[in-house]
Amino acid sequence: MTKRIRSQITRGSGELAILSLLSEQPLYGFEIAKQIDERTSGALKFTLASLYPLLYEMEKRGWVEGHWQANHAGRDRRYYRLTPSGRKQLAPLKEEWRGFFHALDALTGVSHA
Amino acid sequence: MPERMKPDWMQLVRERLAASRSCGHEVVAELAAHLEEVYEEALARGSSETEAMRIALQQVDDWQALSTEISRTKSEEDSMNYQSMNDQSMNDQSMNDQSTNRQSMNFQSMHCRTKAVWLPAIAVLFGIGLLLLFLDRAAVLQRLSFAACMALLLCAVASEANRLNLRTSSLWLPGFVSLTAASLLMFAEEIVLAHDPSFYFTDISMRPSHLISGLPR
Repeated sequence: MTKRIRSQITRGSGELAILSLLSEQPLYGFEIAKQIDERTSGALKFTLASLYPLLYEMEKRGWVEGHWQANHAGRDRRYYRLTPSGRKQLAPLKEEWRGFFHALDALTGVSHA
Repeated sequence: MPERMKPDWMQLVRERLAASRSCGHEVVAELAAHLEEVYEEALARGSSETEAMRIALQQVDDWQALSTEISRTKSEEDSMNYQSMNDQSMNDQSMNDQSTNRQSMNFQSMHCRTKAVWLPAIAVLFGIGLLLLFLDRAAVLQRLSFAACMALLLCAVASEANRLNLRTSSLWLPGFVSLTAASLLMFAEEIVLAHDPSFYFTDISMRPSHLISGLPR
């Protein structure tokens, strides 16, 4: 079982995680948190308190946009989708994190996946 | 088996964010929906109602810190709208109808000038234009009323400028402005080039004949 990563590290990676998920399909907050949890086997966890300030910040920057829509259960949820500007951020952000892992690996011998 | 009482998540979030007046109705609704999903999921996994409630509330350690952080990211415009939204939601406790709720949120988040001035003026002018069209009177007034509607629509868009999404501001709005400008230009050209300009300026009475002959060339 993967050990949970501390919240400071999780938060730093949040933008990339959210942009990556939304590049696949529009999702609402709960689904974003759930998918991050499931896909990282619980290593990355976003609670309501850590997710929404980040989403609103990204919305303010114009990377994502939210709109109300009924979900599969017929309940209104605020779906987020990637904007063209957000899509442009994805590749450089991935590159930045790749560079970070390389640097950390060189320094500490932590092998990146 | 008796149906269980559902927690009022809207009320719960509203109370906890009460200290922050910058967290608008939309934010409250979104956070409440998230807590509801966490709660429902915990129940589906076999937790008791009390346990599910505890799991949902664990999503936020410090509501004050959360509201401060959300306030920081939200614009001043949201802050200004909060008072009127909050008053509205206090008066209207029947917000459970989700479709009504969504329409209400969209309408409430409009700028007050849009609601009080631009939209009513557009409705009145559009009505006058349609009436004249059906009565086949005053061709120039018909055109002018529709042109004024477009101008007012642009005023409404200007009021809502900070709420427009990227596609609206980069695609739909420039398209609308271009078509409006082209339409006004053609109208002006039609008046100037018309063999009989009096058609537009003197004909205020019923004139069925022009329906047959069409516009002057």
